[in-house]
Amino acid sequence: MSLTSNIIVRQAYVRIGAFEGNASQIATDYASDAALADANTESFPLQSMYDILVGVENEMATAVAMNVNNTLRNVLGDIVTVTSGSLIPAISDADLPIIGEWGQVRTAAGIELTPALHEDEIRAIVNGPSGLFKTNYYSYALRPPRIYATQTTLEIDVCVFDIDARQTAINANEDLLFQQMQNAYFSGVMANLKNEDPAYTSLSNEYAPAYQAWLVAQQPPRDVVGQAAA
Amino acid sequence: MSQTYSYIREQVVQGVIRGSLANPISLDRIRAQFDAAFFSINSTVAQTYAAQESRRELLRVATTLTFTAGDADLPEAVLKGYIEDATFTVTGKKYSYRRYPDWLRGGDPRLGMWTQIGETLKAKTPTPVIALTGDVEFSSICSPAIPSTESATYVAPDDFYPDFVNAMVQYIIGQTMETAAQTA
Repeated sequence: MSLTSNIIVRQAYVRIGAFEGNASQIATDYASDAALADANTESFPLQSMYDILVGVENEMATAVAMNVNNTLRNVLGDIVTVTSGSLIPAISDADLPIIGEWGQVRTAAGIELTPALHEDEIRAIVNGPSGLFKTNYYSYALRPPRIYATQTTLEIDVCVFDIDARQTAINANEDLLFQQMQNAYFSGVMANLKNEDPAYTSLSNEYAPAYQAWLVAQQPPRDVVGQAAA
Repeated sequence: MSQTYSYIREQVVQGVIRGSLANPISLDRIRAQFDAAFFSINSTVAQTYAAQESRRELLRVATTLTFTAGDADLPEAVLKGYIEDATFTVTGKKYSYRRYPDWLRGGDPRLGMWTQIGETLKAKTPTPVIALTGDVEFSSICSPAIPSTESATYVAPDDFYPDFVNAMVQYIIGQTMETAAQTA
């Protein structure tokens, strides 16, 4: 069974007592997707739970995407093709919004480029005297808002997150992105169940540390610009 | 033995890494230094070789030059300081070298003569003395030719390769070009 949005929502609903009736009825409603829309909660109707879930997944995706060594990145992976001197891309080749740190920067032939030279060194090599620099260099430099490289065309491994597409999928009870991260989703949703009711806030605070710990555990970002040509 | 430009370059890169462990340099920076200094290190090490009689002949290169109306271009790689060590042969006959002032003064017309002025070689035939036209077997002391691409072969004497690599490494890690070449 795959991890879908309603599996997270029903766990949250049962924690806040949104299901009514005796134990048998609650068990039946808990297992029924149809019953979720009728759950008895003025504070967190079903759509609000889906909205929260989208936000949680967005935060989780960003935390994962900020760490180039996180193996969960393959869930978010895409490629963007750019040319040297172009603007640092915001949209992938699949037309999806790019988030987080890049993975590798490569040529179309799969040769990796490294951030080993400053942009002025790249300029000297690319625009320097003909025949002086015979070596085939594989370096790039980020100088926002643009990227410069010793190769003309670059393929960059990136992470993407399309919030509109995820909202649609979560509303339709489709698969969540991180299939093995059920408790992270659940803790994230619970950590967001706050309003003016002190009881909700108190309950929410019980789950917030676990959710924050998961986000932090995805590791901090790598300083690409700082590491370039160190 | 012959090695490609890129083969020599990567030997230098590894040598520089070893010599700069305290202050590492990015590999592409080492390669850029290599590219930029290749011409000069090649020339300086060749001059070091040529200055030693025991090794000068290692740099001798034979080529055929075509003279027209007494003139031909001097090949770029010829070390001009050792032009007198060159031999000049036309259909089996050795011509004599004359320094340019002596060339202007003339000489024994029974001898074929040649000289060098700037980037040009000039030659006259033996009696009847006329400006030479035709092919010449020209053998001279040359610095190794610079490869045109990184995959091209760097043709040099076997002894030359390690000395070139060592001089280039020394230069990139901070020695002057002259000091680096003295290690050759």
